[in-house]
Amino acid sequence: MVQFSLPQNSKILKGKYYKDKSGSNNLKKINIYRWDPSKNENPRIDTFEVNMNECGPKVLDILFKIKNEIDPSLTFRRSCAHGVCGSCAMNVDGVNTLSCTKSHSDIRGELNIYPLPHLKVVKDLVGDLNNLYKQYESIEPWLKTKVGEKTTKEIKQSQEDREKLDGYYECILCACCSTACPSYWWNGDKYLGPAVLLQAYRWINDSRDEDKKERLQKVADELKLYRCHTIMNCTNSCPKGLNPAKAIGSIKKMLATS
Amino acid sequence: MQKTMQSKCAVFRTEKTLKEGMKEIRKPFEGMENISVQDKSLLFNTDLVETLEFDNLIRQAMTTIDSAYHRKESRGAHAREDFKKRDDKSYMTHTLAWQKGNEVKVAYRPVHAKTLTNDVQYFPPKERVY
Ligand code: SF4
Ligand code: SF4
Ligand code: FES
Repeated sequence: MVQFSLPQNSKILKGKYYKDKSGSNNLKKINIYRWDPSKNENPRIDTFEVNMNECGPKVLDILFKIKNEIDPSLTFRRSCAHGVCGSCAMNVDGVNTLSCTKSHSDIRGELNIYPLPHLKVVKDLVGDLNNLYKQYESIEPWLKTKVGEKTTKEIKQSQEDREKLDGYYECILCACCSTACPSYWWNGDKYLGPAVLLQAYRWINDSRDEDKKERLQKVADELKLYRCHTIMNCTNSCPKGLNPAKAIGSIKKMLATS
Repeated sequence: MQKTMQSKCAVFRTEKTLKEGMKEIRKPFEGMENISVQDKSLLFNTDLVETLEFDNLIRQAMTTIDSAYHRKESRGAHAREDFKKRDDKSYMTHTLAWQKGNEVKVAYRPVHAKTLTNDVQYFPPKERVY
């Protein structure tokens, strides 16, 4: 039988153990993936004992607490802390989600926090999203109109047409879905992935946009689009409750019927 | 810093809260002397970034709270419960502040009552009423 093993330098080692100093009777063990690019070391899992009696309700609050009180070098992205910017996406207890909206009280026992899977790690919990942003740019995520070039008036949209964007415009590009998609793991360089395809659909579906045909043709590609095998991991993981798999299905349907 | 600003220098403020706040906010400022950055790495160093942010914010906080104390009127989001009215006679001015160590010097500069071109006229600011 073939045996696979990870390259030496990507083996995750056991890291430091930070014992609680508060003497609290309500401790939670938090295991966090750590990797510092400036040190020539393997990634490791550090364990922190955190006093849950003095901690906010979200996973992000735990990270803040650790950074403020135990180890200031712990690195993660965050900005809004209210689920609208998408920067705090990470893998919490095996599921990709926003750490600022994920409540830790429904996670029993130890809590494992990793960066989003299958991204190049920049440092600790920060993954490299450059590829995703390039792909996002490639779908030209802006309104394209010919009328718009000539008129200075507002291009109106009826209420019904606006409603067609519901479930798509809310996407905050957190990348939880794309980094949960097995097809994106294996073909992330070519396959656009659920986040970007959902965005593509958002523009294809916009009544004011006049570039629909070209947009459809552009994504109609064996690798860019048809790598989606409707595995649905994306929809399961979306912290905003959106359905990228459905958006991809709609693009496929439009192509099949046009 | 955050707690002091939220409790003593919120939108609704009084001489009392501001005075307490002016004293309190100097404590974290003095802590600056002993600040250190533990993360020494050159990539994505959020520890360093947050330290620099704090250096900036604590000075902003001190000038904000001192300026608010000296402006004895209410205007926009500066609602002094002890001076409920807007006072254009004394305070149609911008506040200028110089922070040096623990000291904040506050002075005023009048608001321009002219526009830079003749194409648009000057609109005198008015009290906002809801
Ligand atoms: S579809 Fe959901 S999971 Fe995917 S990027 Fe948008 S908000 Fe994030
Ligand atoms: S439905 Fe498509 S995009 Fe979503 S996880 Fe599956 S393969 Fe990936
Ligand atoms: S910090 Fe903005 S979404 Fe979590």
